[in-house]
Amino acid sequence: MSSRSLLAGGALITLVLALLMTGCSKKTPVVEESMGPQPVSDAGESERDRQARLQREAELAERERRLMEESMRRRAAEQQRAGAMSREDFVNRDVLFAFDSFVLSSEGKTLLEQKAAWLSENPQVAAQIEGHCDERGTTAYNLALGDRRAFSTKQYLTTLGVASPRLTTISYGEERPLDPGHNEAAWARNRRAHFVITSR
Amino acid sequence: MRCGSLVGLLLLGWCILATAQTRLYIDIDQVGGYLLPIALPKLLGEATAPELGENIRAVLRQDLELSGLFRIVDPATYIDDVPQSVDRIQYQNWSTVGATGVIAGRLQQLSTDSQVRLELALHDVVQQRPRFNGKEYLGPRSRHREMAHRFSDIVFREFTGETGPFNTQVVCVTPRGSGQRGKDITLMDYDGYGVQGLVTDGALNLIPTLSPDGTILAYTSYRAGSPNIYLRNLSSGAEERLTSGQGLALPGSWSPDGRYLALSQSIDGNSDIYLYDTKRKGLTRLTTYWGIDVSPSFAPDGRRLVFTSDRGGTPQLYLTDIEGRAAVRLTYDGDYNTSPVWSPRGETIAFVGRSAQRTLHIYIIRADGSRLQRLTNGSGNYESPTWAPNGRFVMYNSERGNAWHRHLMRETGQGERMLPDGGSACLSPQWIPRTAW
Repeated sequence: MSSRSLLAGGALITLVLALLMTGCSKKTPVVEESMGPQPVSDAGESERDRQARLQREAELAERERRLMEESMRRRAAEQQRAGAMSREDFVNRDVLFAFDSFVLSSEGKTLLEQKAAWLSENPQVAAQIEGHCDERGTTAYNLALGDRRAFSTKQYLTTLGVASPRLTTISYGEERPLDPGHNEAAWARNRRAHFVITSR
Repeated sequence: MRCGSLVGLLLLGWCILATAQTRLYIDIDQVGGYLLPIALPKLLGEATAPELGENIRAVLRQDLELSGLFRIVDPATYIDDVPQSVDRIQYQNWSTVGATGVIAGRLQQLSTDSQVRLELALHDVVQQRPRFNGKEYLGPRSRHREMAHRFSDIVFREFTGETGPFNTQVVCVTPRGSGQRGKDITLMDYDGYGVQGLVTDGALNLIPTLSPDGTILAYTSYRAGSPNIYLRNLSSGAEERLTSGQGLALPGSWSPDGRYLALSQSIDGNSDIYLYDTKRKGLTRLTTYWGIDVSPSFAPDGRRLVFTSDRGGTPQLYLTDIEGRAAVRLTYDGDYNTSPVWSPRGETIAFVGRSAQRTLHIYIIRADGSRLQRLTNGSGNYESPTWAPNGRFVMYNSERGNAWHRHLMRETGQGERMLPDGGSACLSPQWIPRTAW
């Protein structure tokens, strides 16, 4: 993800710069033209046009500024996020699932984007994704469900650009609960895809 | 024997029917909550080995009570503390205390090698004659529980006409002690005694499935990293790894002839049903759905299979056969139906379903989709159903206060009894005839 994000961020900045430059090159000839060939004849209306033009220019500049700011903010946030994900976070922050589901939530996807960024910055790392379930449910079905959770997780990372051979999967079903409790809070923590670094 | 003097096949047929009617006292399908009263007085010669005698009577009592079909008449009411002999008792004295049957026995400790001789007989108080004339067991003292289980089976058969469920064993998953994350595969008597370790390497071992002849144990182990299926020959000790690779492989069930092992195996999160042919040493794929297909269980005909699939959006039971014909959905009630096990007696399938109260319960359904019935009614969760070899009882795990126990009940959902906790937990039990190796 990281390389992709950076690429996307870079592309956005280029686009904004291009827009700014296009705006400049457009603005300059317009001004010259209006001031050049018909400076006097249009003088009566030129004040109104000038006002409209200035307003347009101001609006354009404002929009460009906003785009620029937005892009920078995003870039900064991405950098911060990528930088903020430590090795410990990569290992300790689990992707969580709803009961009897292997579908990634939006939070899960965001977390995986950060993990992908971290993997991109640490290309020597290989990881195993463990699929886990809560205790509710039967042994064999939970093993199969954990298997699918691990694979969903791996699949999303590979679509974000992580090379498939760097990721292995394993299901533990309900065999390795993170939280030994028997309540909703414990179950929610236990329905997870957990990352283990297998080589660096 | 009384029929021997009669002539004509018609009369003979009538006689067998009449004999059956007069001799059997329990129709296992119709019995309801009725408990047949049996008297179990002290054994002759018990005074020479009081502890052993008491243990033997305790096993007999436990078996008969666990069946949910018998009750032991309170010994405090007995007129005769000990019967006069194994084959002659005072029927009137037992009729008076309300017994329908009496188990009379003699225990003898042989001087050599702690061998014991145990003789047991069953008397019919209603007909005032011996119902089962003395059975003699001779063996080491350490196997006295097995002797008692064998005789309990005779009592069960005499009164119900069905093979008894007591001289049986269970293959189990037994968690290791605290701090250890592995799970062992163990073998024990159906009542939790006589625990033997089968796979005790400290790894996570799951889903044990013993072949019908009791020799080949299929199970999943994480010992080499990924959860793969291993086949261990319990008589020779030889072991082979059946599956390889990163995915998840789980045994399902053996065909009744022991030739095929139905299993599930996943590649890239896609779990499908396969048949492993032990003769040709090859795998045949039976399902091709992209999602979860697990837990295949063979019908007694050796052709049909029931399994769990999430192809309909929620886990439900489906039927297919060994040719891999298009799966037919069996369950429609509820949004979580898993772990099907096909009864060895025919068309009934037991499984785990999630109730409206969001707890897991044991259900049964016929293979044609009819007669769906919930068997368990308590609070908490019920899991891992397994049929008695005679198909008349279902055993399962139940969760009470965050601890797992084993229970059994008849397939009618009646006679629920909790099995003793022999000190070794038995999860995911597979109920089997006593192994011979």
